[in-house]
Amino acid sequence: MLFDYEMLRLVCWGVLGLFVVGFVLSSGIEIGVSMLLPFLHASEAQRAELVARLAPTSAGNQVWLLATIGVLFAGWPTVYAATFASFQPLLLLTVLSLFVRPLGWYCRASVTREDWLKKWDKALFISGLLPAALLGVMAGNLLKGVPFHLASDMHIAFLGSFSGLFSPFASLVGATCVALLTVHGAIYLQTHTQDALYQRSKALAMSGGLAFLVLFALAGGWITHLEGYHVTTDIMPSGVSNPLTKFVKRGDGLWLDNYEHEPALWALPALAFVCGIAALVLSRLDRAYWALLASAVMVVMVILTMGVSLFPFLAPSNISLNSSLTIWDASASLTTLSALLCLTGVMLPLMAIATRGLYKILP
Amino acid sequence: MISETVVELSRAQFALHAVQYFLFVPLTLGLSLLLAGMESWFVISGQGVYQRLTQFWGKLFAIGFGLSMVASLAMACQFGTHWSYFSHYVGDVFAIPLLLGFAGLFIAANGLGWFLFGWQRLGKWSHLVVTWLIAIGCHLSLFGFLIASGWMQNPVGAELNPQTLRLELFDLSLVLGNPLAWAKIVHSLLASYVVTAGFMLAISAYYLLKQREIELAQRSYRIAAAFGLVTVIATMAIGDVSIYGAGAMQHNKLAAINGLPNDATLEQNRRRIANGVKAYALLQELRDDKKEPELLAAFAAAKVDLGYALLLKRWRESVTDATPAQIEQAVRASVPATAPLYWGYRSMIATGVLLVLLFLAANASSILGWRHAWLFKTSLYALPLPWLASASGWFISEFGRQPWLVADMLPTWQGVSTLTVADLAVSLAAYGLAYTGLLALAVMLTLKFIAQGSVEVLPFNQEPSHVV
Repeated sequence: MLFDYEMLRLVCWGVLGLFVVGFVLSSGIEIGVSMLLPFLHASEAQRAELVARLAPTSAGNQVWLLATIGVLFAGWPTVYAATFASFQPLLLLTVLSLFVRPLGWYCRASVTREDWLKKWDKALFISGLLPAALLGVMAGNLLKGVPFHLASDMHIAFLGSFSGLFSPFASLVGATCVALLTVHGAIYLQTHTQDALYQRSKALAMSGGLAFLVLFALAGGWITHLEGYHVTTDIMPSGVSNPLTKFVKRGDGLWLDNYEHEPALWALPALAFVCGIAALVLSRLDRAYWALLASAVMVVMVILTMGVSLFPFLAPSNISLNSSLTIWDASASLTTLSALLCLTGVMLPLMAIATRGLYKILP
Repeated sequence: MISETVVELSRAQFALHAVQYFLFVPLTLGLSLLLAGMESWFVISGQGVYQRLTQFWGKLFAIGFGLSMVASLAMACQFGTHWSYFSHYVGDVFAIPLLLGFAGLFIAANGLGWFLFGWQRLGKWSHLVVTWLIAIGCHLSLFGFLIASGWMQNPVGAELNPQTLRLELFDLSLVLGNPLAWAKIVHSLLASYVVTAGFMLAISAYYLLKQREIELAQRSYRIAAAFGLVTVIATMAIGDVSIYGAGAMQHNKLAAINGLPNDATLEQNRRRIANGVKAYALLQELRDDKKEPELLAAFAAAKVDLGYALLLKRWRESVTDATPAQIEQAVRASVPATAPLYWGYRSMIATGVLLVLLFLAANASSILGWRHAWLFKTSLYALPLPWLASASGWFISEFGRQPWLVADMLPTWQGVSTLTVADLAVSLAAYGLAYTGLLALAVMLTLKFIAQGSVEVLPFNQEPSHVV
């Protein structure tokens, strides 16, 4: 055995993070462009070309989401169960809006009646905006804590409500996520357009980027006063996966704990900022390709910041603190995690290469 | 206590996703293989008509694939949203094959992009490789999903861990080599090919009736007729007998299908429930951090029947103090209702026989060169038949599993999330509407592509001028 249980849990957590990154980078472009479509002032011919370019990537991008869900389910079945059931209404809206693609792209590309195209542009806009916002709201709720309770027989009780999921903080994270994907999409457009459309994308990248930097800073400031979670009993990284064997406390600013213990981690949010600024500067200087790279690094850093702030929690519970789920006590068995690592060890690089390759052959 | 409405609504939701899945996945499976076959023939023989065939059927494949993606996404979320206790209880085993299925889906989905876009950009041979990869991806995804679903019927390679209170994987090779899952894979694969053949036959017959696209339609008709005859005969000959070889529950199902009395089974289930209650009581003691070897040994001996104790939870949450009347209720509900299985099986066989006749006639016509309008009309209107057969088969498999979600381990009643009835109803209605809309869209798009024929290609195939 190459890894012990502790190491395996840690490595699989990293793999889960990489799948999230893969999903956000690949689908992010598609989502960003769908959201920007109504604001580009593009002619019908230009729109048609954008659609023809992105349509072939759509199905593959969606499987990134499926694979991410699969890795979470296989690696932390209880986390998957508790969060998905708690976020049921949000997921319903997300999935329904994702239903519009990839079929929507084919439809838009296949029928050329004008009223039909207008409708599809609206549908595609919503299918970009809603998932971006709702996935952000879900991330925000993870930081706030999720209202579930684990009974002693591990039945999960769900005590939240739909409106309860839209707390001000969660909504702020949702807005940050929309801004993030807007920048990413706009910079992608910049690398693939010319003249008026290029200038328009550049302008959108700038305003989206500034909005993102402000929102990200706001969320960061808020988190210093947001109630975070902390395991007070000894953590047993190789222990059995039973979440009910620990005590958890909640307190202002506890999400900053990891940064205090390991100051080097401050580099992650800092890099997110620096890369965001770099992406905007490069975009301004017409170095679109480099701007896209910087924006990709920014996306990665934002996701890492989120993961590291939560660590070792995956889904804290805000109504039953001790039911909170961490990477150590809610994971799959040793056998399953080993199988997961072998499988994803093959999947992840191949998926990354194939996705990159597909985007590359698009003109 | 879990309410009956919650269970019924969650089951309805699962059935809805499964119907959507079973409408389109069989089609994409068979089409992916035929696309690869037709394109191989184009590359080897150099006959351009086979490239046009591949492009035409490729457009219809893209629609089917788009819809099966949608169903997969909804399915991937609903285990967690609607079946959260199931997800916790068996996720350790169930999710790995599922992820393998997603890997297959990725190969096909990513390949579809290259397939649609790459006719000009990739060389002949590279494009052929892509088409084969799509076929492999589609088949790998079916493999993964059916290993997972077959495991629910015959749960091997896993055992209950009293410390984590869930089933844990101890041997992945047992799960991947599950004989029941493999029997299901062979049967479903062949049945999917029949669905594809029926679809292709119907559309070709439509063209032949309308005297359009004659060259494309004649070849497609011949391919579909031959492919359909071979696969429908293989499906019927190999049959589903192999599926009923393993596991006691499959035995019950077979008895129900044949309308046989199940007194012996009920008697056996009564004993297993009694033994299960013992296991349940021992488990509670073990949970109190007692670690005596005798206790562990006694639990290990009784735990195969633990699932039977969970059957009682529908009537008595605390299980161990269930009254004899409640135990009797659980015993009676421990086998599936007979009539739906009896008739479901007969409708599957009847449609199978009709399909053999249809494909025989279609082959005779394409070999002997008959041009009878009635035959083409029959081929066209027989379009729903293979789906009907495939749906009956799926119904037998899922309904016959009741009252279990995972055979002998987890009752359906126990697997659900305790969501509110309002949440469940809204979600069911929303998905119902969305699927109806998507279905309408898919039919419209299919008709549009059929009207276009093989002349026009999707815009992604054209070499675009740069956006200016």
